[in-house]
Amino acid sequence: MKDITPLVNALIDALLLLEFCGPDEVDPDTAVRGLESISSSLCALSAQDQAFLRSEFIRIAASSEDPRFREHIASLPDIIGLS
Amino acid sequence: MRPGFGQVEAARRRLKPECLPPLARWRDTPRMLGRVLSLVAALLLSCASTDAHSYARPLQAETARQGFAAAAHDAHRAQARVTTDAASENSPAAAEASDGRRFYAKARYYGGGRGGFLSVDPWQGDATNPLSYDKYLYGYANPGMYIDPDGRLGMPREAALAYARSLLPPEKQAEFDRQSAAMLARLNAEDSGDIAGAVEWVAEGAVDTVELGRDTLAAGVEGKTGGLVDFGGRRAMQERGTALANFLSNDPLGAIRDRAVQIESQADALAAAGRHEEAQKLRIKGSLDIASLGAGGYGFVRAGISGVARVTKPWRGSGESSPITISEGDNAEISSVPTGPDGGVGSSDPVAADLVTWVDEGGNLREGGNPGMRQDAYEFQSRASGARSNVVTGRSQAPYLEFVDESGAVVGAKFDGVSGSELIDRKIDPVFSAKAVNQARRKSAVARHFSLTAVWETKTPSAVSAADRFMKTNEIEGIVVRLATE
Repeated sequence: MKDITPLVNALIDALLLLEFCGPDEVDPDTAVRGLESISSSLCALSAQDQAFLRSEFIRIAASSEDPRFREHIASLPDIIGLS
Repeated sequence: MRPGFGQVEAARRRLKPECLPPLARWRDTPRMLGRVLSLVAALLLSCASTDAHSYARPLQAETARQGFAAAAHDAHRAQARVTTDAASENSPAAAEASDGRRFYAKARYYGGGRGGFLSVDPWQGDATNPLSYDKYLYGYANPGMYIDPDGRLGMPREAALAYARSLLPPEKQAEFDRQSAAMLARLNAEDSGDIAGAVEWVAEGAVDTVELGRDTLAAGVEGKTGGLVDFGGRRAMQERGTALANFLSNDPLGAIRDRAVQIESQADALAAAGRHEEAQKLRIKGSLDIASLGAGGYGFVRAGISGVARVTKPWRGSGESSPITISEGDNAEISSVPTGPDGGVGSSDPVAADLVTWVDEGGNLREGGNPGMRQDAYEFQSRASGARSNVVTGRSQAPYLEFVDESGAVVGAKFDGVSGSELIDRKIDPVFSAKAVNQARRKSAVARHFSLTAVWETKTPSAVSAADRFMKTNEIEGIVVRLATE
């Protein structure tokens, strides 16, 4: 795999969906549990890989033209607890 | 249209990590991302397939031996029918409602009216013991020989005692021997196969229970334990004291005698009609049911009095096996136990189990169901104290509480389990999102409103640190963070 950007974008899509969906779409407690599950899996990465993933989030955020999107993507590494 | 398990599996296969070639510089992350996304896909499909409160917490995967379990269950239900003469008792929930007696047994509730547990056994079962495949029996339908300390696994009394003894320091083993011998002598009373013997055995035991219970409530647990180690810890002892008080208040002797009279009357009628074989079968089944009726009480009463029986079960829910262990963190010398205003042990605290409403969650591993949750996460959360599932719907259940705040808004929260005055949530890793903060505030508020304690149990010390940081950063108070003990 030479380009993981689509994979990271898909991950971002999932995180955004769970965080911003309404209670009538997905039960809030269910959404949080989904976020926690993703966080748990990603935090199992090595410190080096976590740092790389963080940099990918930042890079994708910086390339976004929408400031709200950019800000939230940039905060995702901290939200899910990447080192 | 509800997606089936096959669709979930197809989604997972499409994202199968093995499909992703390794990247030399960054080898693990693509595989991990693939795994995460496959879980997300499964989660979303699961959500789409159920109602608003949908989150998949699968029950036991059905096995090839399900047929046997179903047959055993049917036999047990038939037994309940015979002894209660009420068709509605086929439903555990109905049995609980109509009978009004249920007993807390850690992982599950034991239903007095049903003569068995009210929800499925979280343990899959053991091929060497076919009765273990029945999801509802207490102590393999032989409560004279087996105890089920935590609602998950029946074990021989002697084995549990021997193991518990081996953990004691030498200077305490003599006292342990004295108390356990007295207990076994009482419980090893002749358990004859006929109805009269069973009634006598159970009734005598119940009398002992009541008398011992009164003594305990009057004198406090400290006097009865006599310096023994309580393997459940002080909190567990409080719970059992409360359970004991509940058990005593339910007039177990009256219920047992009423049931015995009913069975004997029916058996007499059959015999008078010349149907002797049926009458004999009814008496045998009836004796089993009556003995089981008493066993739910004995389980925790015995544990509470002797302090020897809380042994964690070998967990084999996913095919893995681990030896019987007792968490050292749970071992505690009993020095004093708070006594409530009415003399009941621990009764000054509200009991969460008495306040919560159990709501079904999404997910169902029965035919056509889908998981929607990682297996290790499911198992971790299912081990929360007091976690239970709904045998009728086949779904996991969550304890739920709500109240109306000053603005008129309904504030509600679901948890993973309950224990004493605690509402327990199990977190593998906290996340720091706004939605997670909102959830924590809801849980804290609900717990405070009902004078209960919200608890986060995490799997690792690093998760404890993260959870502490979460609370501090977001200025959330009232949630206790601790490391899960099992």
